[in-house]
Amino acid sequence: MKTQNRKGLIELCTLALLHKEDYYGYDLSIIISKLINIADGTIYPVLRKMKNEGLLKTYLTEGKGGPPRKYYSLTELGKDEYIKEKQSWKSLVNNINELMED
Amino acid sequence: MKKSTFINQLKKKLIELKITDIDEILVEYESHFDYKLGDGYSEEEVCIKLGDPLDLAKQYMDGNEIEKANRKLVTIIGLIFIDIIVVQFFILFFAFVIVLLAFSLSAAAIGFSLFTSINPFGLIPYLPYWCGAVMGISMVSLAVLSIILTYYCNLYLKQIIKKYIRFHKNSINSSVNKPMLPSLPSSPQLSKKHSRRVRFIFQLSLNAFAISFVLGYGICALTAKSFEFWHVFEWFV
Repeated sequence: MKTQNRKGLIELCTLALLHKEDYYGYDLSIIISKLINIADGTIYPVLRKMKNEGLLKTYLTEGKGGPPRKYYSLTELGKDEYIKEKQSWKSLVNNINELMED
Repeated sequence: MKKSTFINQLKKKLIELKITDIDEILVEYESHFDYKLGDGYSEEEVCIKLGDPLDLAKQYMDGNEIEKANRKLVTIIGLIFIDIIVVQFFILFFAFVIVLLAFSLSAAAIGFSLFTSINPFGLIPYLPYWCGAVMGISMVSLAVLSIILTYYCNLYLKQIIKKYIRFHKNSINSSVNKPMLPSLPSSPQLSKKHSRRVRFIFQLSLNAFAISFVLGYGICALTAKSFEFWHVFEWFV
């Protein structure tokens, strides 16, 4: 699949993962790069873009020893976006699958 | 490619593209390296998997950068105005702690002189010894009481200064969409055992003060055969 197509998928996967629980950036990068075969680093610019758009927020937790960890979570806007995107993704996949039926 | 080369190339390109909060971006990649290296990957392997740093830097370009810088400036100016007031309050509070400390020290000194009948420069007016000794106990309890107050106020001051500093950092961070740390509680965080001990000493000295003061007054009044014993002892003559 072309790289351009994958950008949107990163966003969708991020929304889906964060809808379940909060993650820190490294976890998101590892899980998503395995799912859709992209370079590990690509996720970070997308996370920042989504944050600037108000879909995500971040917070720090004070760990015992070591630097504080940065967690990502969905904003209300992000949750709404996920519900919308989920619907359109499902119908998209259905349509394309039908198209490809022999 | 080594970790340092990767980070440097990324940083250079980000600066060239005038991206704000470069540090925050770099921290994200640095911690990525830390996790991966901790799992036993080599720096070269991590770099290959991350992708080309120049490409990654370009993906950070968007229209929000200037707006963000402005928001940060406005926040800082606002905070400076709040600082002017809050810092005065802290100084006032600190002065209060000093006054409390001076009060405790002088109470202790009076108690000590009454006990030992040492009367520096004749400052302490006449009191029969036993009246003075009981009053001395009450003065020493008062000293202990106010030292505990001083100690607690001092801790409280420290805690609210810490809290204020945290608030300061968080306000600036939130203005540029950076993550915030949880805010701190405003009362000092003593361990259970410690605070129980402090409370115990506080109650003990409060009771000791109340009892010995009333007792001392009673003894004075009985000795002088007058409730206004200070006239009998000719304090103000």
